[in-house]
Amino acid sequence: MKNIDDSWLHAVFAGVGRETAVEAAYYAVRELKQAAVPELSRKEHFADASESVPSPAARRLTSKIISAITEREKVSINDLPENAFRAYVGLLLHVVRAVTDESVHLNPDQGRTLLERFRAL
Amino acid sequence: VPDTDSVGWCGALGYSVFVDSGIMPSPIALYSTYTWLAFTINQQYYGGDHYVWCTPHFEPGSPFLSSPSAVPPTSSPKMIYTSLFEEVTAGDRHSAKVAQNRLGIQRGADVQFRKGTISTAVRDEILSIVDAAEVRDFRPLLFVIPFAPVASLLVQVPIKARAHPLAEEYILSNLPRAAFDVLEIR
Repeated sequence: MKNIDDSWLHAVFAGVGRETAVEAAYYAVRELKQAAVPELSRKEHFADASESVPSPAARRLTSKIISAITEREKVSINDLPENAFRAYVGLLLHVVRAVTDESVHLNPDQGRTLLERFRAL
Repeated sequence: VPDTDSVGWCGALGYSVFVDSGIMPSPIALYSTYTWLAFTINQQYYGGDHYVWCTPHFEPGSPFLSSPSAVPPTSSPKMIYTSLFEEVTAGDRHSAKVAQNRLGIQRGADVQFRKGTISTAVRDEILSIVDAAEVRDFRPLLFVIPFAPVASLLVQVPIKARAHPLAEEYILSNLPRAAFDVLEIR
């Protein structure tokens, strides 16, 4: 596994809106997960319920993400080691968080307070 | 919440009943593995309606099934529940299931916002909750859904999206809370 930095992934997400970033990262994780599944049991990672089919922009971005990962690793995602897979999933979450920060004011205190209230229900 | 195999992972009792046609056997119940956080968001913000992927086989490999199940282990609610439970119990911060669920809940909030179900403020509130959520908030819950009352609401998962072409996998887009039981197995 290569030393993972995230600048290249930020470049892949450059100029992308938050919703597309979230959607693309979701499908990218789904595709990466499929790599560990026997071929006969794999799902087509973009196939989804009619009301939640991925947007064309998200599909393109997902393909770019997967291509960028396979280019860096020089292996098919089917051969991606488990530790690399987990690291890329973490990176994707990190980059989506950065994209989110550019457009949405997340309120961590509010999030924590609400979580505490819900946990107590 | 349109998070397919993460928000609503779905699995048979050892016997079947028959629907009115007498041709296709129908199960007693459907099963889905959810996360506490996804369930809670649906309860608090989406009127208690749940987006659920489910299957009639809780444990497809069980020796007690009346007929073989085509649901592969990867879509087994039992297997998903067990592995998620282990990851959450271990506090695995790099769990792919947890990551996928985080993204799925965010995506669900975007879908609900576009549909006009929630305001910008509420969407941002949900995003803040997901951002602040800890691994323990993704602990698994098992949905047990009696089949007959929801039979008319079932949509078959497109073949390409199933883990096996013959696997029985269904989607319930707006499953009301009153239509299912929730179990937490430790």
